[in-house]
Amino acid sequence: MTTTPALVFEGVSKSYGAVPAARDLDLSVHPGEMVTLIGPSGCGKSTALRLIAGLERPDAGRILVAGEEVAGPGTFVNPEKRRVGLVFQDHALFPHLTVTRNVECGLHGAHGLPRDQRAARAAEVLELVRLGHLAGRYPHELSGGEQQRVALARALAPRPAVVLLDEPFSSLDENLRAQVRTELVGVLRETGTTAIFVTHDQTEALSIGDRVVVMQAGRIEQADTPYRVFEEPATRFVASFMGDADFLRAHVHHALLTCEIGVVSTVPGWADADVDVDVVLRPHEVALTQEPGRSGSGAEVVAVDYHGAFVLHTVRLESGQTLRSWQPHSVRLPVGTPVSVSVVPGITPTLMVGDRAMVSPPDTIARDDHSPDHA
Amino acid sequence: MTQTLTPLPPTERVHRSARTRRATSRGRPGWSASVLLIAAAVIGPVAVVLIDVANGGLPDWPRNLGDMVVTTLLLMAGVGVGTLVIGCGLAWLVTAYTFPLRNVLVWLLVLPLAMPAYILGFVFLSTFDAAGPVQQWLRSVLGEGVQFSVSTLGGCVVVMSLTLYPYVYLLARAAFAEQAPSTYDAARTLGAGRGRAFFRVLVPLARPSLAAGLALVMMEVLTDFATVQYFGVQTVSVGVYTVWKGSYDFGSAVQLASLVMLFAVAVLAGERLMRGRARFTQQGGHGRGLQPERLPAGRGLLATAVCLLALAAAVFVPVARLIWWAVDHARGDGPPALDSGFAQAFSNSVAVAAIASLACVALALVIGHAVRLGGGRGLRAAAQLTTFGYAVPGAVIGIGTLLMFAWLDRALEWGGIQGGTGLLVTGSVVGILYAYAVRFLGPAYQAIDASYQKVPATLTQSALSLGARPLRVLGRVHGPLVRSGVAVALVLVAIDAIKELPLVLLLRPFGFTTVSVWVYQLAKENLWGLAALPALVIIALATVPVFILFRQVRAADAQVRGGRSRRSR
Amino acid sequence: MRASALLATGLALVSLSATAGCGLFGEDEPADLQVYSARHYGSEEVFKQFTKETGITVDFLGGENAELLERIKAEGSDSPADVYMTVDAGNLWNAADQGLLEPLVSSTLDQAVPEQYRDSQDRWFGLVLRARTVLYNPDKVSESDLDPKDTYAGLADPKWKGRICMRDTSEAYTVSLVASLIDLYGREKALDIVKGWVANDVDVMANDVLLIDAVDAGTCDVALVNHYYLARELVDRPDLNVKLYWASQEGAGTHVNLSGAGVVKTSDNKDQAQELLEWLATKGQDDMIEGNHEFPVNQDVQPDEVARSFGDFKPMPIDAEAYGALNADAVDLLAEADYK
Repeated sequence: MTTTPALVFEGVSKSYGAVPAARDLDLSVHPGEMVTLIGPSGCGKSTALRLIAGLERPDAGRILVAGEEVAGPGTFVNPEKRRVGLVFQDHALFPHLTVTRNVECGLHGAHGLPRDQRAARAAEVLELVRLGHLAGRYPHELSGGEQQRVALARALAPRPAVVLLDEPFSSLDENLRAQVRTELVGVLRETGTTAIFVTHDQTEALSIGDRVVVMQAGRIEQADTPYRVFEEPATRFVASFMGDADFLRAHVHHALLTCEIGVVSTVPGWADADVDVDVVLRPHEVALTQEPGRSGSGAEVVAVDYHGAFVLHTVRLESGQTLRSWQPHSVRLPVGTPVSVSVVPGITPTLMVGDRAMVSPPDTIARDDHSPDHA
Repeated sequence: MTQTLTPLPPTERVHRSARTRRATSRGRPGWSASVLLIAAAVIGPVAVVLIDVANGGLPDWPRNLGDMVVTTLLLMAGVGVGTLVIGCGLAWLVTAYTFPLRNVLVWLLVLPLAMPAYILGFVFLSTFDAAGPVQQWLRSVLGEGVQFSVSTLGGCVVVMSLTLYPYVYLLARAAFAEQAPSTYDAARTLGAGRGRAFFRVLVPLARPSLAAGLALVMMEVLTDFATVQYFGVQTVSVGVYTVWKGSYDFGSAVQLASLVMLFAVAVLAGERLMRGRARFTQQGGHGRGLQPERLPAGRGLLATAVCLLALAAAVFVPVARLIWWAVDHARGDGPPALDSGFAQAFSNSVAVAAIASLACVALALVIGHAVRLGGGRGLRAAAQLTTFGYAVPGAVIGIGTLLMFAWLDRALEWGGIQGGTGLLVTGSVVGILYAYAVRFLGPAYQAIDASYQKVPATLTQSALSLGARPLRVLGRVHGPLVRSGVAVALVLVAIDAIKELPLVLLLRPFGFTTVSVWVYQLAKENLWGLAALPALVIIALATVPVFILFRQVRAADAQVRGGRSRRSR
Repeated sequence: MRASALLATGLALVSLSATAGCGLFGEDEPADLQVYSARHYGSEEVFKQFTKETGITVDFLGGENAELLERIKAEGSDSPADVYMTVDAGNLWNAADQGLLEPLVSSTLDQAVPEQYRDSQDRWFGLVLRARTVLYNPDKVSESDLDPKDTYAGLADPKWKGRICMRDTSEAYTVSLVASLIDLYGREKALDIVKGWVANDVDVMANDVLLIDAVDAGTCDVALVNHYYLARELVDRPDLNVKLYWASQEGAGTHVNLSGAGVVKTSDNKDQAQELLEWLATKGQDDMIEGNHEFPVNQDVQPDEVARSFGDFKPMPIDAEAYGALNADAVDLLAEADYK
């Protein structure tokens, strides 16, 4: 396959004064792909978006939109000449224009249409977001969800190469959000639009994206499918940011992974290894068994949080380390209950050495001087 | 959709501020260059004067400089507090309550702007000073002992506060009306009464507008010559004229004028400081917001009385006095107060005011737009500099314009162009219009910038990413959204242009007279009988833009109210 | 779109005014003579009369002394100004001193204008005189209270404490009076006099009519005013309770000042400009004082009735050079004495 990527970042860096907001970003997005950018606040995800839109100029590196270099050494294409659509959290609809007028706005511009085709295209995209009946209204007469759909229709109307959505759902009510999200994603899929979502909501990132890009401190920590980002986090940060994770000190020897709670699993291919690691355990991977008559020390329940369908138990192991475990809603162990802890069968837990996940056995020689890349 | 005004952590804050004020980090070379060009044009005349004077070596400062500086500071402080209290208080009254005559008073309260200082000073003193009718009446009632001078610093503070408060009033009213209703609602639900919600939420949120209004007031105070001179208050500006005209020492006068400009720079810096680092861009917000509440009869009449009292000294008394003189003159057998020459002067005033206000607004839009498109510190500094002309005494701008064009003329002749520019400045109205633009860009930009602050940057970014070129963004998005600022700017400049005196006196071509020159020449000779009717015409003329502005504001209010509940237009 | 409606209205007004031919871009046909004048009152009628008698047309541009001077300088050789007319001897001296005025050879002018009222090099000529003298309220002051020898200095006597009022320091009238006092008594004595006024709590007002009102109302006993303001007020209000006193008649005489004119060096019509000056100093004298009550410089011409009613007086001799040169000293002295 040699289709031109819809978007390419090549070694893109940007800082605000002394504060680096994007460091050496590399990324390639295929046409029709939906990518979510996620990270804590200040991680650089919004900067990445602004760089694509042309609202910021990179200090170094190149950005290509649909094969055309829009930013690079000596080149900079202004936002209005880029084929990039923008949807903001606050919708940013033009308050003085009707819905139709808002949508037609983008059809006058550099990638617009002749006069006689504009109305038809506007009607078409409004139908697409199922708002044809509200075409004559003003933005303030619409609900939040409707406004968001108009914003999307407006961005889609000029057929951009990429649509950027900056936390598009965070201004919506919780119960409205899921519905609007489904509708919006549906429209994007239907039109085969390449889209980049910025979000800080993990569930949203995992459910929308074909690919999730996790950022921290201006760097891309991992860019991968939702499944792999969750199941095979590349770094300690990704593991803990994308869903709950506990880290237990463990050891691999003769392809056997052992830790405080006993043998966790086998590690195929690590037969020669003899190495200290941290094992990543997610609450749904941890099983609890009550030990009613146990005397003496051992693991015990220290907190119970009721979440409806499931109940989150926090357990302190004998060493003082804690683990969390999801239990069905019928199981609610009182605090102080002695338990034994095991790992549900069949999983392949992620192993960390320092801050990075280990996928192949390290050289035994190298094992002691491994140092983390960054804090 | 609630507003959060919690301070952001430092790094985030840097991003935010860059994000809300400017649409992009980089700016557009063409637009940025326009701003630099405008700034250069504004600074030009002043720079030329300074260079011209510096060539002659630095003269001595006048010996009472210290006193003049202290007096200037006291006057600024007094008038600052006065206009803030009056302007803000009246704005609150007409926004939060309904009472008898409120709908008329809303716009009448702007009228003091229409009163030229050189008329007001004389009328006020001839009415209220020891020999005037008011104190004569007091003496006839209370006995001979009653005699006090009103031509003091205190009297000056009172009169200037009463005439200049409309700057604060106008901008404060707009700010109160435009604030997102949810903010006010939030404050009320947090248990704040109307008054408390006003002081704790609305006033702090209106800070950028209040600061802009106050800056305009300060500039007026700094450059005023007529009023302060009537009240015997020796500010630095009075010093400029005394030194220039008394000592024939233009150099010393300019040196003093540069001190006035230094004050102005401090005022502008103070304004930025007062706006603070916090940003006030607000979005949408649903709710009832501040709805005017009907005052009970007694208190309603009290509110009406307060507004009328504010207007009395600055508008009603002088107008009544002028009418009295005009009638008195008409009864006598003197020459008629108005003739064909005056009709000529009238149409000149209208034309110059219209051209000047359109030009200033156009330039101010260019600047506001360029700053919004992005650009560095330099660009923003240049934008700020363009407001500087308002703080320069009119005569200095006038001389600077003369000198600048004289240099240009010589440069052209030296370059081999026969005749150079000829008599471009003083042979036509070009000089006047140029100087007007230099002087009045300040109020125009202040008003438009205040409106720009309320347009979220995401709107600009959306428009750009939809493929609209910057000029189109200005015409289709920014223009309509800042139109309340545009209207305020048009009116402020038009009124100022109608009243403006020193620039016209200095730069007008032969045969070109405006109503303010007309009145001034008569007033200077104390021919108040002849001056009264034309003076009333000036006031009436300046009332027209005020009235237009308020029709527009009322329509906008109605639209906002209607829009909040269901639909509008 | 009300803003655009506003814009449209504005544009309409502009084009309306432009099509009305309102002279926005200057006069089409310039007159023979262009006069820059800091003297507004009645000028238009004076020049009309001149045109009527000679056929020479005149445009005049009113303005302020100092500004007009700077304007002539800035316009340089392009300046249309032929005649510069102003209201203070100091200003005339200053204009000549800056080399803006052309020396004239005219026996008519030499004859009509006494030597002390014209420049020693004949670059400018005084045309009318005004006197700045004492005005008092006869209920509060009797003529014998005033010092007939040094009347201005006498107002520094403590007996006038709280009773005198004068003009402000930014007014040329005040400055040139003080300059004449410096010329007369020397700086030290003049400073003592002004300090004496200040010690007497002199009430400083910004307008001569306010001074007259104050004396009339008795809120001030004695004021220094220009005689013609009183004359004009008396025409309108004959029952004013005030009396004029010619100052320093037994001493140096009453302080007087000049209005006058000169021909601008860059003028391209110097002959007719000179003709205008000659006319103003002779036949035009009556027109110049018409309704204005000033004193003509030409001894053959009588002051008007109101001015005559003030009686004859001895003027203090004018030394324009001294006034001009001492003006800066006067400003400095007023500041030193803390005069407002």
